[in-house]
Amino acid sequence: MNRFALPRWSLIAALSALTLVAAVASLLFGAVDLSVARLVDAAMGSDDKVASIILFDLRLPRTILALAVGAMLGLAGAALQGYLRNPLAEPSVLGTSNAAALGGVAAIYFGLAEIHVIVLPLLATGGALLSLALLFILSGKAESPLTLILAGIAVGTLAVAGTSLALNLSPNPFAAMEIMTWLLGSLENRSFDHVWIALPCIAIGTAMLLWNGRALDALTLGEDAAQALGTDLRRTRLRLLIGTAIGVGGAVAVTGAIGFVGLIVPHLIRPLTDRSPSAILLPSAIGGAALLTLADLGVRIIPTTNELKLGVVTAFLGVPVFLVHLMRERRLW
Amino acid sequence: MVTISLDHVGVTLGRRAVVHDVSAEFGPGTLTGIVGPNGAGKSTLARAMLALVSASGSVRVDGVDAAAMPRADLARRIAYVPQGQTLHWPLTVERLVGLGRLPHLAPMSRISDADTAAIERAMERADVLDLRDRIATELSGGERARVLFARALAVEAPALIADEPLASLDPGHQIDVMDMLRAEAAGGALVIAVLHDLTLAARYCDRLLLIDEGRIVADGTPAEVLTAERLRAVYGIDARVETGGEWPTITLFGRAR
Amino acid sequence: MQRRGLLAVAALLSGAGLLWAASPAPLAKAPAVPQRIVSINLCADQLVLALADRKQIAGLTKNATDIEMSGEAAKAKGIPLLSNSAEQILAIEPDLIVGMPASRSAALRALPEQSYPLLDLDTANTLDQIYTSIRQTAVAVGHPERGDALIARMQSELAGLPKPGKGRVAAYYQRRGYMTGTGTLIDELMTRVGLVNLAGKLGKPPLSQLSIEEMVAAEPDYLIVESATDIVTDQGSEMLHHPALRDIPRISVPQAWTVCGSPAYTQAARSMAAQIAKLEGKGA
Repeated sequence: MNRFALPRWSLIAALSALTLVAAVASLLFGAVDLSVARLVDAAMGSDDKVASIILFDLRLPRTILALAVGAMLGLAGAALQGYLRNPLAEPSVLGTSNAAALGGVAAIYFGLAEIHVIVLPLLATGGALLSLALLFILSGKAESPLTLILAGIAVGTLAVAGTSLALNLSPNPFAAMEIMTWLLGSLENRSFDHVWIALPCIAIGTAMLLWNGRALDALTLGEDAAQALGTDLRRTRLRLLIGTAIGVGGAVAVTGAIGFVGLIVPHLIRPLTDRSPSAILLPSAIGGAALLTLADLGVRIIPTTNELKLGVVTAFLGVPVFLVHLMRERRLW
Repeated sequence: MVTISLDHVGVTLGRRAVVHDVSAEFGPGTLTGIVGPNGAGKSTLARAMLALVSASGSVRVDGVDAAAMPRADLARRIAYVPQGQTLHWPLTVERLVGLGRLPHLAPMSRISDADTAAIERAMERADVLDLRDRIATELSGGERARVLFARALAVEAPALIADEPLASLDPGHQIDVMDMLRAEAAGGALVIAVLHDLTLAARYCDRLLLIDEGRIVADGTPAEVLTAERLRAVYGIDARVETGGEWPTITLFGRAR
Repeated sequence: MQRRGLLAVAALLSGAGLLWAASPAPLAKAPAVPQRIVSINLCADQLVLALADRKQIAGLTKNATDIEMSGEAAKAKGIPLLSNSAEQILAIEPDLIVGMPASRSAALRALPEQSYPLLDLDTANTLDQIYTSIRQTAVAVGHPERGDALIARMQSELAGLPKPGKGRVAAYYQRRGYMTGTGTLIDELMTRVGLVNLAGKLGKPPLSQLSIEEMVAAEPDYLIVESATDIVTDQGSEMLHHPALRDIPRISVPQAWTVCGSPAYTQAARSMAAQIAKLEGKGA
């Protein structure tokens, strides 16, 4: 079997370059056509009010969020796949993103978010935590990978139904119209307020997940062998649970549930590594950042009357790639 | 050098007591086989020694309670080859064997030269050097068994516990594995293997523990432990045991009437 | 503020149809002074409440008492509120049903055997159309003189209204970035106080969406928002509070005064003029 594994640092450098290009492009494109020269001037601190506002108040927070949320989703997918030994695992497939969305919806539309700015990410994290805890309990007894996925679909569907119910019950008559933003995700109109909500959560989540590389590698041999190699499974599970919940919770709280990033990116990256779970973690984070930023760019460039939701683009990008991979690497993952 | 002491060890899984009141001492340089019928509690006993299940009584490794010992310390003392040939990701053989170094790696450090040397030695001892770039999940049963064994050897721990290492291997490969276990013990390691095959157990082990329904029925040399009466009592089989040669040979006739 | 926008679109698209429906063709003759008037439309509520006696009104829509949406909310207290139910209409046996229009209401279509006297009103997009609706309603509820009086009062209130807008450009910005265009009541209000509608300047239809980037690039002098969006309760209103828009001065007008062509028009106009004058005084 032909293996095309890149040396680790080459892969990371290449992905980082791609991400940088995507980020710069994200700053250069938008609803309003601004020349590169004008934007560079504004970046240097010119008097051009329009360009400055658009660059710093609109495109910059949007780009930062695309990178951060994309990284978190890619990393969460890689970590969950490693831990659950299931190549289909990722926050949206397991229903975690939707559960976090339910928490976010409860916070905003019932006025709870006004109590304190931390209530929103807190409730979103809570939703994610509940759904993950449920799945981790089930995964212990799951004999086939499919059982876990089915459980995830059940949890996710329940969360979606709950979200719809919450939006309809809300005293705010406009709430029900915003359901698509929550279920498909959007980076439109984000500001630095949102960045300060999401970034700390994502930073914590990322750190907690990256810490698990060794444990995930050890789990290649099964839980018993992993423990016999010195892995503290309980701590690993806790770090994974809490790290994913906080990171995904913070992300979903400001963007809604964006699907497939955590599924696609590890799959695309895995063939370029030695396929050990730890080797995929950091590259998946960087790849996720690139993917979401490019998808968000697509949302802004594709001309539609109503704003195209991010989740639609990630689904169109993701599912075909996933299917191709599925057929080619059936035996391998 | 390392010692493992079991003192009145009992294990309850669910509501069933799987292991009752087992006491035994294990020391270096010996290959001990744990034999017994299906469901006797052999694997559970092995897992109790590694603190993978909670046990009453005491399991001491080098005099220290195994359950209280930090996992990494225990991992450096005892290497474990679990039942089945579980392999979740298609790693290369070299990478897989490298996993055996995990107990020795400090939190954020990379693999050192010492680690690489240990991996090489392990692959050589298990005779898998020519497989190093192959994908472990694509190997045959016999090859995979050797590779997983190499992974355990890479830990370079003074003790090794193997749970049914011969499952689904052809006779030739079964002999390969037993030869490796034997060689480890000869090199001074404390080796314990849970075995099904009485013939091989009799041929290779210095000591046998015969377990039935969670209790030790016999503990001694193969010649002492494997008698026709015991085999009938424990396995319900009719067999003849000949102790003339270097090791006892067992001929099976059929079910006991 | 979806409702206003959607009403405006409906008006434009079905222009001809509405004109046809506007000529009142009740299935039965209404009494001179109806005693059981039912309104099945929020805008009709406003007119009925302004022109009829309390005891004449037998039913209004659910939103009639909602301060955010109904200009005459205070007057509507205590009057039965109906949902869109044929049963309720049947039980009341109204002698006049006022709608916008009434003849194609779903509830009435469920009662084909009944023939109630109907008054079909047009959606009013200009002041003159408001005056027409007032006259029609006043006659139908049996108090034509009140209609004239109301119109006269409105005319005098608007007569002295200054035009502080001075031709500045303003955009009526709703939740989710919807912007109201020309040919609408909002547009007329803007012109009346001397403002130029950004939507007209950009050649946009009566309802369009403008992203924040485009709004920033358009550099309007004022943003007009409905006062309910001053509090952030959902993502749509959150958008209107985006930091990128902080430098544009705002005029806030309750939706209750602008969603319907009603007597509240004059309140809207006066409020807008006052706010502009204040902002201009600050050296906008």
